[in-house]
Amino acid sequence: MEKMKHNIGIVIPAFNESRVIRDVVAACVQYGIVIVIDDGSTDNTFEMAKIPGAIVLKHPINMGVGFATVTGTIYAIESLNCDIIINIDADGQHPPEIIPQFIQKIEEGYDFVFGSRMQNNEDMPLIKKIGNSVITYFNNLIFRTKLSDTQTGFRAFTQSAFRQMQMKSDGYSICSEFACEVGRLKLKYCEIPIKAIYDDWTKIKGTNLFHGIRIMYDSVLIKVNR
Amino acid sequence: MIPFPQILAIGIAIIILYYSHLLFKKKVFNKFDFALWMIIWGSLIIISLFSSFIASLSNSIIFYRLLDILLVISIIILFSVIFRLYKKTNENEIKIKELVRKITYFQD
Repeated sequence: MEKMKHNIGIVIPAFNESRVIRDVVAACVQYGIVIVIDDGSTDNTFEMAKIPGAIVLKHPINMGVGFATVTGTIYAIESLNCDIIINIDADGQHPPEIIPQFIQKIEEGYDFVFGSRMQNNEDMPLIKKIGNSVITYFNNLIFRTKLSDTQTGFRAFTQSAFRQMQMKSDGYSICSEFACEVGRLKLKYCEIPIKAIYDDWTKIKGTNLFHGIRIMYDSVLIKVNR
Repeated sequence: MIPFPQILAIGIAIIILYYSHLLFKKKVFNKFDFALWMIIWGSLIIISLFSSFIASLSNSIIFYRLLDILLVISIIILFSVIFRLYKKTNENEIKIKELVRKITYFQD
């Protein structure tokens, strides 16, 4: 139904996700045009993503999840003229059936919608809860936002919001950069609670302590460079 | 009278500060990079200009012995090399990003 009203692009950055990418794409295609950015995978992520009907672009080398997200978003906007962009992780952590809720919030007039794992987080490992809370608190402090989870990869935004943003992060810091831009541009934003799925695969693919330290460091640089 | 090594240090610092400004205008350097090099080279100018004052503060004489002069010149050369490498790395990073996006979209 949403496909009729809007041109929706679902951008999925993927690196060595051949194990799960087919199922993730298959669960998303009913909600919009799925664009998978294979970020220089060495497995058959590219082929597996194509089977359920995604548009698949491949980076010749691994550039990072942030760079891949921006590659896919620019493609969705410039080549497909998508007016709503959804970002979702390729590892199967996010439930695609919530996508209509994101679209509904955009239709209500929000520029940016964050999927928050911290409002429904009983399954989240303790170390991730602590790490996310610390980074989110720090990001809210320097970016002047009021978010419960800045590190989520499940988000939706309008074409016009993205066109105003200066996205430069290549890696995991892109989540903080989105929060920074939302705060800087004073965009209208909200959060939707999402129940993230934590299985063995998503735990392997997630961030660790070193990523967390790097994200904090990058957050300062992002703020200084705006 | 400012000793020669200090004049040399100030000259090189001014040239690199100007070069940093040009790179910042060309967007090869971002605000953080520009500020970082301004602080490093600006500090060198201040130290060179007010070396006697700083020396009196630290109870030591800067550029007094030949070894000190060599040490300062070596540091200037090293910083110049680091600056050049930093600039090249940033330029290459920008080029790689542009190239990857072009290849990715061209495949489609």
